[in-house]
Parts: sequence; structure tokens; C-alpha cells
Amino acid sequence: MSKHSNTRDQLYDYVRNDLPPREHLIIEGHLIFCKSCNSEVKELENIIESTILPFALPSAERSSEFWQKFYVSIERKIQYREKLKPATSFWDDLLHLVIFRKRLVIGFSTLVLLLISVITIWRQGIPLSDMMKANSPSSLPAGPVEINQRMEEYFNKSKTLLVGITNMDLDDYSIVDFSSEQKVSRALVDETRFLQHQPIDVRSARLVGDLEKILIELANVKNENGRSNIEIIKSGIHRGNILFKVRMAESMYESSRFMNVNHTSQGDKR
Amino acid sequence: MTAADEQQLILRVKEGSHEAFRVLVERYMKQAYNIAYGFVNNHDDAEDVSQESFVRVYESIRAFRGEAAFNTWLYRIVTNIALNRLRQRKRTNHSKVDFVDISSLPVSVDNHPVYAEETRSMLERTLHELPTLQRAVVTLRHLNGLSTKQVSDILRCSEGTVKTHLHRGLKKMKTKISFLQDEII
Repeated sequence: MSKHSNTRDQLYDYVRNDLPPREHLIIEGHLIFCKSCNSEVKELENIIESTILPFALPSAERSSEFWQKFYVSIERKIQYREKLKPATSFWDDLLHLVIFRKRLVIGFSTLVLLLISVITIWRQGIPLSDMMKANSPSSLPAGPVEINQRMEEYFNKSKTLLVGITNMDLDDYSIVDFSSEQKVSRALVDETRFLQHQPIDVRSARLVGDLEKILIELANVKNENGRSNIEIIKSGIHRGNILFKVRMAESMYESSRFMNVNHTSQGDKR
Repeated sequence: MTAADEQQLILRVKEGSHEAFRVLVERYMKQAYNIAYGFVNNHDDAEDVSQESFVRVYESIRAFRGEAAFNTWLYRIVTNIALNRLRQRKRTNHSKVDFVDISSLPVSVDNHPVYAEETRSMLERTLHELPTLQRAVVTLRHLNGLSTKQVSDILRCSEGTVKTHLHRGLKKMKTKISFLQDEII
């Protein structure tokens, strides 16, 4: 845009005396030499003279009473509008909140979602811990490693008991006290019942079942008939090859314990 | 009233003070009325438009953030309501402009009030015939004396646009007034 057209844009403000002092001086300097801008200024002065100066402002044509009542009329309109306004429902307020407070709604929703996620993740752990607490008196193993250890101990104790029974010398006609064997048998019967509800392999489960019968017999042996009952139990052990099977099972669980220990230690080394 | 005093007043209106609102109304009612009249050209509509503007101000004062001056915001509301009124009037073809019927006036050029009345009527008629934006600029800047900056804030356009439309609007008005004066003579 040329300097001349820039000046023309300023002429109205110059005539109305609305220019800052510096710009006013620049225009005055321009007008000394520019005839067309000078005639433009005169034209603008005529327009102002004919369109603004002779006339009172419209507000001056209204009476003072009119202006005194002006505010009262506004108040009445406001009160009337407020009466007409329907009571907003919760859903209207919610919609208003969503439309005009988007950031707040997004922030709040994100927080709620985060909270729900945290609670859900936390609650995922609760069922396992609840199971552990419910089975506690004998401090149940938390996983397969503990089961294997108990199996190993069970077979070890069973083996010791059965070896003692099979090596018992019953030719002597003196009274034999089976109380300690009965006590061990009863404890092993309890353990049998626990192990039968654990996830163990089929062969071990069958062996545990066979052992249960023997252990129950031993637990119920009466001292007066003890010799004859023990003979029956001994023949049962031999017939079923129970002792051999118990030794094999014990070795198997011992070796699996060994393998677990190695695996853990190597993991540690890594 | 300083700018700080006005801010305090607006804060009180936001809190629900009717007294503070009354002070604001009384401060700006005449200028709002003049602006409204510049668009609608009759006293009834000017009263309606200016009062409606203050009702809107009251209803939406909480949305006023103070980024523009309060009077700029108010005059913007007045301008929008007045332009809407003009559009409605155009649709219903209901013209309520207080044009003076020139032919009914006594012919007396020495009688200044009559001559002035004729010219005023011509002025209002030519203003009425201007395109909307030129009419808005002429009304706000020329007839109501608002600054170019303020007019640009109200109409949300550049100062250059305001000056251009003012220049064109006044040219047209001058041409039409001369034409109408020739007709009378």
C-alpha cells in the first residue's frame, strides 16, 4: 500500500482529532503539499458538519423520566425471564458440565478409570491369598515344590515305619508295645488324607492309596492281637511290593527337590 | 470511575449484586441506546434493543473474562441484537424507521428546525440503505464517536477494514444526501 493511500486512511481520524500527536503532525505535513488529500479533508469536514454536528444524540431526545425508569424496565425483564426459566434437572446440569467444562470432565474421568484399574489389579491377588488363609492350620504349601517336599517326607516316614514293621521279630511271645508305631501311623494317615487332595501324579496317588490301607491297619492294631495283625500287614507289604515302591517314590521326590534347588541356584547366578 | 473501580463493580455483579448492576446500567445506558438507534432508526426498537442488551449482560456476566473492556463487550452485544432485529424486520417486511415524510414538511429554508429535520431524515434513510458492515462502522465510529480500535474490537475485524468501510460508507452517504437534496430542491 502506498504512502498516499495510507494517509487517506488516516484522514478521518485526523479530522476528528483522534490521531496520536506524532501521526497528526505527519498528516499535517502531507496536507501542505497534497491537493487531493486536502479536498478529501474538506469533504470529510462537510460530512461531519452536516451529519453529526446539527443533531442531538437520540438519547437526548428522551425525557429524564424515561431514563429513571430504564433500569426498572430491565429489572422487570430479568425477573420475568427467571420465572419462565424451567428448573434444571440433574441431566441438564450434567450436559452443561460436559459441554462447557470438557477439560474438567476428561480429567475426572481419567482419574476414575485409573482408580478402577488399580482396584481391579489389586483384587486379582485377593483370591489366592484368601485360599492360603483358609487352609492354614497345617501351613499348606503354596505351590508344587512344597507338595513335593511333603510327598518326599511322607514316603520317607512311611518307608521307615514299614521297614520297622517288616523287620519286627515276633517269635518272642512277650507282649509287644505298638503304641509308637500306632502314633506314627495315625499321623501318616492324616498326611495321606491331605496328600490325596493335592495335584499329584497318578502313580504316586495309587501308592498313597495303598499305603493308606496299611497305615489304617497299623493304626488300629490292638496289642493283644498285635502279632497276628502285624503278620497280615507284613504279608500285604510283601505281596504289593509296597516297600520297594515307597523307596522309588521317595527317590523320585528327592531328585525333583534336588533339580529345583539347582534350577533356583542357577537362576540366582544369572 | 477508574478501570479498577469498574472491575470491582463487575465482580460484585458476578456475585449477584443488583446495586452494582444498576450502577453499570446507568453508566452505559445512553451510549447503548444511541448505538442501538443508529442501527434501528426508531425510539421503540432502540429502547427494546438496549434493554435486551443489558438483560443479556446480566445473564452472561459470569462468562465475561475481562479480556476486552466491558463497554466493548456491551456494545458488541448491542450491535448483534440490533443487527438481528434488522434481519427480522427485513424478513417480515416491517419497516419501523422514523423517517420524516419530507413532502409533508412546510417549505421554509429559513426555518432551521425544519431544514435540519429534512437533513436528518435523509441521513437516516441513507444510513438505512448502506450494506450491513458499512452501516455498523458508520454508526459506531461516525455517529457515536467510538475509536477505530474499539469499533474493530466490537465488530471483530481489523482497523484497516474499519477505515475502509467508513470511507466507503461516508462517500455513499454524501452522494445520496446530495442526490436527495437535489430532489427536494
